[in-house]
Order: sequence, then C-alpha cells, then structure tokens
Amino acid sequence: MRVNHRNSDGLKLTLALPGRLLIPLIAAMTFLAALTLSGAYASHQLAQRWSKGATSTLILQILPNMETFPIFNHPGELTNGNLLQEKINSVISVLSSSSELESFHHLTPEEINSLLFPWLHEDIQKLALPLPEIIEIHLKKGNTLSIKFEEKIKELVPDIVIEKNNFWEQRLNSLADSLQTCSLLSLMLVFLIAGSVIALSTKTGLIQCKQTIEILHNMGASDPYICTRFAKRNAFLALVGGLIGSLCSLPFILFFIYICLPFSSNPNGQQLLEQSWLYFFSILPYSLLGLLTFLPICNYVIGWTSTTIIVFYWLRQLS
Amino acid sequence: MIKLDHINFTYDNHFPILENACFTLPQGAFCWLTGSSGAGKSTLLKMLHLEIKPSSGDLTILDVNTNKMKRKARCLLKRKIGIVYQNYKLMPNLTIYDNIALPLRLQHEEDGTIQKWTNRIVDWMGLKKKQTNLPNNLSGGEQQRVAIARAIVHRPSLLLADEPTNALDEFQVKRLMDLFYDLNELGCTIIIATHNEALIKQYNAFHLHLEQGKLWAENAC
Repeated sequence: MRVNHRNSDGLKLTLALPGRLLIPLIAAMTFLAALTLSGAYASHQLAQRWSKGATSTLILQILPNMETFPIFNHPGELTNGNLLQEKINSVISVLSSSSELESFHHLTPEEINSLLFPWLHEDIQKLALPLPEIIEIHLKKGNTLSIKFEEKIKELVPDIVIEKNNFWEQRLNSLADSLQTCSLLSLMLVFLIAGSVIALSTKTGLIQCKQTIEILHNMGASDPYICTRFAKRNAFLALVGGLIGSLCSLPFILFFIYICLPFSSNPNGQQLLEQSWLYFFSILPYSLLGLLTFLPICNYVIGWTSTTIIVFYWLRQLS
Repeated sequence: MIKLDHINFTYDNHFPILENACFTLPQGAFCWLTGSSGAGKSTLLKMLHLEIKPSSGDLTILDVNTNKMKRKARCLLKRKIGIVYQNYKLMPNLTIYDNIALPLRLQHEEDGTIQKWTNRIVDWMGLKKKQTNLPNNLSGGEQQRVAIARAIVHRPSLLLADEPTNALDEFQVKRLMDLFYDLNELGCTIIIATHNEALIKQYNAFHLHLEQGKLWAENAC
C-alpha cells in the first residue's frame, strides 16, 4: 500500500490564522491607503503643474505715460503716444533676441478687453482708463528669469513692471506639501493599524497553537523556524488582502479621474467626459499604478515583520 | 556524559523539587530513575531535556554545559535527545506516520531518509496498518508505541522515557526493552523513569532514586 504523507509539522495555521478574518480587514486598510495615496499623487501633480505654470509665465506691464493722458495733460499733447510705442518696440526687440524665452505674446486691446470684461462689465474703449500694455512671457522649461535679462529690460524701460508669480508658486508648494504630509500621516496610521491587526491575529493564533508549538520546540524546532511558519502564512494573507484592496480601489480612482477632468491639462477635458471607462483606465499614470502595485508588497512586508516580531517575543516568554 | 553538579530546582511555590542533586552518567549508560509519585521524576527528565532550567547548579548534557547556552545551541542539542512523555504528547492533527517522522523533518532530513527510517520504525512497532490513522483513533498502548517510535526515530544520543511501559503488555514490554538495549549498545544513553519494580529487577542497571528532593545513586557525589 502506497501512502501519501503530507509534509506537515502539525501547525494547523489555516485554522489558527484564518484568512476570512484577516483578508477583509487588510483589504479595507489597503483600500483606504490606495485612496490616500491617489489623493496625494493627484495633489502633487496638480500643484506641480500649477507651480510650473506660475514660475514659467511672467507678465510685463509697460505703463502709459501719464503726461500723455488727456485727464492729466493738455489736450494738444495727446499725440505723444509714440513714446509708448517706442518702449514696446524696444522691449519686443530684446525679447525676440533672448534665448531664455519659449515664446511671448503682446496682448491686443481686444484680449485685454475680454480679460477685464468680467470685472468692469463695460468695454474698456468706452472707459478712459490708463491701462498698461501687457506682454505675456513664457520662459523655457525649468528656467527662471535671469537678473541680467531683467536689468537689460529695466535699463530700456525703467518704469516697466515685471510681475513674477513666485508668491503663487510658494503658496501652491506649501499647499501641496501640507496635503502630502497629511497623506503620509494617514498612510502611516493605516499601516500601523494593519500591523496591529496582524499582530493581534498572530497572538490569537499563537495561543491556539500553544501546545503544538511547545511540542515542536521541545523536539528542537528553532525560533526562526516557528517564526517563519507564522510569518509566511500572515504575509500571504496580507498580500491577498492588499491585492483585493488595491483592485477594489481602482474603480473609485477612475471615478475620481472622471470628476477631476475639468482640472486636467487636456484642453479637451469636457469632451473626454463622454469617454468609456476603459479610456480612463488607459490614461491612469504608470507611477500611480506602480504605487497601487507597491501597496500589496508593503502589506506583505508589514505582515512578515509584525508576525516575526510577535512570534519571536512570544517564544522568548514561553521558554 | 551527563552531569548534575549541585543542582537545585524549585517551582514558583518554593517547594524544592531537587536539592543539591549530583550525579554523573557516562555516555552510553543505562539508568533507571525511580521515586514515589510526585517526587519530581518528570521534572528531572524535563530538566535533562532542557525544557526547564535549574534554579542553581551546573547541568552538563552530552558533554555540553547548558548554563550559559544560547537558544540556538539549545535547539540543536535538543535534537540529539529523544523523549517519551508520560502523556505521550502526540500531535492530534497528524497521522501516526507524520507524528513519527516529525523529529526527522525538524532536522531537515531528506525525504528518502525520512521515509526509510520512519517506515522501518513503523514496521518494527507493528503500526503499519494504522500509520494513516490519527492518534485519537488508537488505544493507549498504541499511542505509547507511537510516542516511543517518535523518540527514537532520529537515533538520539540521549533517550529519556517517562513510564514508557505502563500501557504495554508483557510481550511488548520485552520487545521494547530489547530495543532500548540495542540502542544502548549503539552508544545511546538511556534514562527511564518507572514505578515498575519487577522491570528494574529483571533488567539490572544503574539506579537513581529520587525522594523528597534528594537524589540517591550509587555514584552520587
């Protein structure tokens, strides 16, 4: 008679550490972690984009000569607008020859009108306002305006106003930093709870297997052997829970992408709202997908580590 | 060599189990351990099996001083010791075969070796037909045979047995004693705790007696 013998040591860990308890709890924790991580990722990306936009765009305001304006001057001297045009021309010539710029655009009166209309509710042509000439500058990627260039422009037009957006960049950066810190704290809390749940489950399993462990220990089973047996089981359950949690979070993340489309950099954001779910899945950033894949691995490591620590110290107390 | 040098042991209730116990057993000795019920025979066997530490004194097992022994070394030393518990302590969820093969598996022996040695001892113990049964489905005598088989399957250097014959019939006792003598011939030190005076008379050997914490022996210090 041929008998198949299981390679078992009597530690019934499937009974002592049941997956039906641990897997749903770990899955819920991973789900929360995935959403937190996605939120942090989105805020980081958004802040980065805004920040990039703010630092790379500058506004030059060339003020009209107040003395040429009818209110402040004599009516006969109105023709002195040539001075302003000269200033504009000299600035544009400097801008055209600069290698620091990606592009620049001199705003037309219509464009200024459309910009100000929501505030003034009136056509600026009908209002006698001393509006400056505006030139929008786009710096090359990652560049900031050099002091040399700034000095050159100011030398040509001393009363020019260079409006930098550093203030907004700082604000956006602090907003992004605070959001990311909150996410990091939430993640740490989630991992801490996951670790505690695993530790508690391990303790229960150890109490259940106490007699068997004592026999094994007395037969010469080493501490690392028993630790590894428990750690393997719990790490596996944590991994399964992590995978389930990560997968469950995907539809929610896709939904968030859907509702955040109006904030996207894509100019056709509104049209994309009618795309299928598959499309949203395809535009998921790889780095975010990588983070979601990383979560179950994190769970595996947490499961392994917390179980090993608990079993190790429990065995020390045992004998 | 096994050496107890002024060993004292008390449980938490401060009642002394061993008081100034001294004895030396050379490697390959055969020894009976007797004493009235509750005298501390099982405690002494547990101490020799490194399950409990003496309160004071020097304990040397298989030529190794165990006093300042590290946990890993203690585990490795335990693998050289076989023990038959009075209450057998079999794994209830393992088959008879797996129970017997357990010490070999814990020593990470190869599958071929495990099968060869386990099958041999299962045959010898007359447990072949019941090797796939769980311990709870066996009689007391059969369970005791499984416990003995598990204790000797890995050919220990020291065998400790706590009342190993109390559930066996006369024929089985004789076979078992022959087996113990064979093991002893191969150099295994054997210490058997028993109440069976007839057995002690029948198999004359070195004799330790434990009474009220005192250990009496022919070569006690």
